[in-house]
Amino acid sequence: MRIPPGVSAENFAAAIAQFEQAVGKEWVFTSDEDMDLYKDDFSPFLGEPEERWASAAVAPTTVEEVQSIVRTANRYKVPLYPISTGRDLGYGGSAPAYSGCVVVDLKRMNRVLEVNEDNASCLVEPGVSYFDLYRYIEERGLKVWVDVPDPGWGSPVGNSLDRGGGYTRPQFRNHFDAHCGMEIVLPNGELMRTGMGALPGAKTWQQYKSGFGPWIDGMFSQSCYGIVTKMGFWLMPRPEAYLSASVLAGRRDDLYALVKVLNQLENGGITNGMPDLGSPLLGIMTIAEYAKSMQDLPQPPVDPELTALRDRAAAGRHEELEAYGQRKGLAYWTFDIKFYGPAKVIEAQWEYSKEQFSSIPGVRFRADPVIRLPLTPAQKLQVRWPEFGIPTLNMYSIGARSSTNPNPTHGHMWFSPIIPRDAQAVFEANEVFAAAARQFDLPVLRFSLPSCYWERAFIFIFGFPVTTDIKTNQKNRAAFYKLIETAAEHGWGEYRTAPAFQDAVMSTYSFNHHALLRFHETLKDAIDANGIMSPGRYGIWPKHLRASRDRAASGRAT
Amino acid sequence: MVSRRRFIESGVAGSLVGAFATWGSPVRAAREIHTSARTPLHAVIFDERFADAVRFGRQAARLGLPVRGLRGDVTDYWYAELHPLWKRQARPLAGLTAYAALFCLERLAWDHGMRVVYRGEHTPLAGGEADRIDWPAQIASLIALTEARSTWSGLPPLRRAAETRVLTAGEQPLHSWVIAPPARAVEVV
Repeated sequence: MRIPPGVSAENFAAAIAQFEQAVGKEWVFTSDEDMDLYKDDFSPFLGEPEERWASAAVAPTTVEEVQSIVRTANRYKVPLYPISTGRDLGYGGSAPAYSGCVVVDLKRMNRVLEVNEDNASCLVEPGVSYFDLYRYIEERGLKVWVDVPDPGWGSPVGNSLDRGGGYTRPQFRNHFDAHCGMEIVLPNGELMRTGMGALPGAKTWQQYKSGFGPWIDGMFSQSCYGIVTKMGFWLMPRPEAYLSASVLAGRRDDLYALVKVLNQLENGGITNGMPDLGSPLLGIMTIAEYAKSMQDLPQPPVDPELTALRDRAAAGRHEELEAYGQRKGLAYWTFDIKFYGPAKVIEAQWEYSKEQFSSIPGVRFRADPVIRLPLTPAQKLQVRWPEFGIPTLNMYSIGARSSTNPNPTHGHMWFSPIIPRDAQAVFEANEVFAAAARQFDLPVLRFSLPSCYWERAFIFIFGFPVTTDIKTNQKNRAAFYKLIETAAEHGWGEYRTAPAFQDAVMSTYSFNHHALLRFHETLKDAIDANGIMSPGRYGIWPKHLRASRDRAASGRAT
Repeated sequence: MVSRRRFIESGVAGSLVGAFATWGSPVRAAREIHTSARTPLHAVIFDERFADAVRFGRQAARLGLPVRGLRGDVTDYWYAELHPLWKRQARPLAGLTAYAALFCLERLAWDHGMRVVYRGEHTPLAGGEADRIDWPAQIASLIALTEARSTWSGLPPLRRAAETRVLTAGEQPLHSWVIAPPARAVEVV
């Protein structure tokens, strides 16, 4: 059994005994075999001393047990690290940010407490997975959807607290924005409810978000201020119909108008599904096209002329590529846009959208037939499930060695900067990241397109490989740190990252001498005097560990 | 660095084992077999897309084991059968599938106190069909024999081949595996 740093063996044994008393001996884990399961599958420190490890895990099933665990942790100054399902692979998994923490594994708190069809809302515990909630809704034939991430084996509470996203309408696919009300065990063991939940007997906990006074829910996302034990969400009323359509444009510079029109349509609520960008001429598929291409089937060879023209376009010679596209009927850009709603309404929305995009010379359109919902079994085989609120693990079907992927890596870590939602930013980011890739000896992409998960902003999501070779991982980590700095120099910040990089990202949010971080730390010191709650999560450390954070940061800088 | 789209295309979304064994040669198996208390096997899974996995499934069925076919993605099977079953009772599962199915099922099994107690990776041999033993049937038979005993220990490594060949389109390495409740405090074989 490993012991948390700074905790005596005697005190740790006493804490473990009290955890066992609280939850039952069978739900406290300390063996190496069990602790291996709480490592980050995709740790960028794989096999190195810095790889994060947990000293123990404890799995409560009630709020009272969580409170007891927190009070014990305070008594013996044992650091805790709560997880819901721990499945955010690529962003840290279930491994603690600070090695030695006891993982509070909330998977046994898996009750769907309420789904209110009329109000299109729910209240769930943190161990409820997207599959659990989907099953609950399906079994009862309720006419609501839960927006799911892809893959969908995580939990609504965990994914929203990490500020993950999905694929339906904007107010639901931003999972944290879709929440309504929380219950939290604070670092001192006290229980608190937010929003209308603070009013005893409130009838509107899942109906009105902000309650009265400062709205503090955001403090508990990407944070170290408590353990969320209940969380409400607004669900999407099941739409009557769905329409997927595409806008195709032939010139490189059409991207300026495409994005501008799309923003007007989306911000105005005309299109309401997740837009999806692709480029047939540049060989960049939309997310939906990639989903279809997952089968390991023989791929037609790329025309050597097209490959050469892509290279020339990357060097600034776009006209030849555009001419090739004209000859072959290939679009420079495809913009897939989606509509949810009554059939006659979404058909009218598509007609209006076409009018708006028609200002782009030569623009073409295509649309799939309107799908009446709910899906038939036959339709279900044809569509991309997350766009219909159906969780899937299909993404992992592409994870193995195959003829098209003969040398796969061990895992990945996501580099995901937020950039402005305009074409200028897309072109600029491509230049900046291509230059950085050359500088840091990374594979250089010809061109990348951002995703449209969030309203008002684009997000680039780049996967850095995690390998079993320590030197390669060290090189990739060094490049990752540099990219964080490079992005920040251009005004682009990460929205989320694995624990290995959280300090580095937090250090870039440095306006007015790190006023934001200092505020976080003031809060941390005020509500978590012993510094036991998720130390280091998202770069916020308790007072007694800040010196080691600073030493680590200075080590990275040298 | 790859974009998420490119990343999806290049297929590194799942974690991958480093060892590169050969058809019929789960070289990692001998040291990875853990013993576990016997619990009745719930089902044998095979990936219908691959002829070897189908042979494995047929042999398992001939031997009286309950068999389920899937095509790469485990979601349907997980949702329809395993998820509700494992909520009630952790029951062992065996299979010959592509890596993706094993990756997902292994992690889902952890939540129900189970582990992968046997695994092998199988990649095509140079020389083609003529050089190959009927290893899928062998594995199915071994699983059936082991299932009939009191523990899951004792699945031996199979014949090891000298070299592999490049995968052709549609081929993936296949993985044989058993997921079962581990017997704690029992030494790894």
